[in-house]
Amino acid sequence: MSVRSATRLRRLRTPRAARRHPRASLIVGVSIILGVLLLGVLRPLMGLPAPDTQNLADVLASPSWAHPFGTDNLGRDVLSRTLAAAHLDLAVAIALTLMSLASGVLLGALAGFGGRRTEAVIMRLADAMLAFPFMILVIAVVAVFGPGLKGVFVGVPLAGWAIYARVTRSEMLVVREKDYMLAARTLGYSRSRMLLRHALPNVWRPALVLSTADVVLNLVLLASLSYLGLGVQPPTPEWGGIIADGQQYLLQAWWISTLPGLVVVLVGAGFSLIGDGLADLLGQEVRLTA
Amino acid sequence: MGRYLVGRLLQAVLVLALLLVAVFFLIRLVPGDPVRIVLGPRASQASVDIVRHQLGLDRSTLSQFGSFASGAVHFDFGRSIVQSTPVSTLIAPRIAPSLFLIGYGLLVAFLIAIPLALVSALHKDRPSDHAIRGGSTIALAMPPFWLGILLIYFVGLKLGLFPTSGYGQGFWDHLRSLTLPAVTLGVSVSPVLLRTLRSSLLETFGEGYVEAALAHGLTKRRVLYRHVLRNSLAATITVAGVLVGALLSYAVVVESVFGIAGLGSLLVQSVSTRDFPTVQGLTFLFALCVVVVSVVTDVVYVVLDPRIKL
Repeated sequence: MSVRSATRLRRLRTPRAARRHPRASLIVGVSIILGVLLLGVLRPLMGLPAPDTQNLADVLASPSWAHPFGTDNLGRDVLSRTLAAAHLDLAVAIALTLMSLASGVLLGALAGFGGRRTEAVIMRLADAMLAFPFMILVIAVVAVFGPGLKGVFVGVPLAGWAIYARVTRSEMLVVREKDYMLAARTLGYSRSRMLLRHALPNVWRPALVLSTADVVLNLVLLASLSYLGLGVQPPTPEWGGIIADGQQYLLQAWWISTLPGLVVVLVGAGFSLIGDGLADLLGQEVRLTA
Repeated sequence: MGRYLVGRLLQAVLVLALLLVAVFFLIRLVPGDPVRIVLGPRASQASVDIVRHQLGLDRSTLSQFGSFASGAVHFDFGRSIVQSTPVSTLIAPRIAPSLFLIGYGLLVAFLIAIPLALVSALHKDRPSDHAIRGGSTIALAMPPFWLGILLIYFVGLKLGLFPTSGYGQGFWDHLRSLTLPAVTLGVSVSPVLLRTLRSSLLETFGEGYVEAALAHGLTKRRVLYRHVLRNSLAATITVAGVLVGALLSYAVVVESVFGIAGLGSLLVQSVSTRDFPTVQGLTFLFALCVVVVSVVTDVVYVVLDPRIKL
């Protein structure tokens, strides 16, 4: 073996000091999200028609200065609808993520802090939830409530808390052995005070970093459910719904389905950048699986 | 080993029993009258009563669960409300297309992830690594149905290379018809596989046996393929559960995009038409798949890795 290949393989093992710019990725990520939201607000200034304005004289028009994303089969401006959908999609995806985050962190902290039986019950439930295909569980819940956002709001947190509980519990197992927890116990603080005031502020970081990846997954999930006709119902503009509507006109008007998807990817990339930045700032790692 | 196996199987049976209870209550949790929802507000009381009797909703909950559970053991979930055929007859012909799609998609995912993970790990923190990781971030943010539509438009309609819908006749036709759906599925699940493989490769580089193999004068290539890659691939078994979950979830969407008559598209149709017995049967079938896969991977892991002693 040559000397060079030995040094080469050795170099692979020692991580080179990573040149990271946590602030820069945070700023770029936040600007992307705010930019998309702001464009929706500034729509009238840009001379774009309202998202639900139909113009039957100008249907399936290809992208132009007047309609950057073209128009759909009812002559509605596709960019205007995509931007209006951004507000709904982001609000729902963030709300869903926060619901999963809050319940998961609380249950995970409880599992790591409470007795052995509490821990067993919570963690076995989390295992069961994590084992089941996420989307199929949510669809099953939508089956109960019928197509619409109600089922989504019940189903996603029902399945989504588990991964947060798992990371928070393992963090809690470390924190509960710390000196300040011993001090709190020695001072005779109540268990709820120990949990809420002393343990929780020290265990939420991995969950927060995880939540940025989770927002992306929830965005894709919401759009997918709406695409399938199980989520947001037409005529409310929603990314999945817009793309589904355009699929029937794919040959005549490719832009209806393809261009809004670019905005979805852009927003997803924005959240990933925020996640990378947060992870670096908080000294965590971005993970996809627990 | 034997004791571990029995314990693991008992655990699986318990999980399945709990799932059966959850699936049973699926229709009982429906707000309002499920029969009215299915038949519509203008259905006559007589037909409502008939369907209610058919579904067994007019009996006591305990006796309902008894017959539901004994039926479920033989995979008998009653009759579909919408199509008035047994749920099992509706499901059976759709199993093969779904399995074909998932298997093909998994193959595509590995074909994407293995070379990219190798390049990424060998060039850690260099431009190619950053590009591959950025690409996997974008793949993760891409809605699978959108990717499917892009492939339908550019590869299917513009280039005319592959069929854009259906399942075809015979093996080669299936393979051709399912190529675009499998690529969609493979790209969608590849980020999980790629990241797992990359970090496991990086970990394996640091192992003593890699250094030992190099010190013995084996070529770099041989060490990489025989020692490093093999061990890293074995590590992907640990994410098999996540992978199967993602494959099943995305397959539901992909089947609907490409009009494949599989289990996922049937699930979506049945939820839209509120065909509760079919939803129950499908949900239980999916759960069964997941439980079987998790038991098999646990056992395979123990068998493969001699370091785990039981």
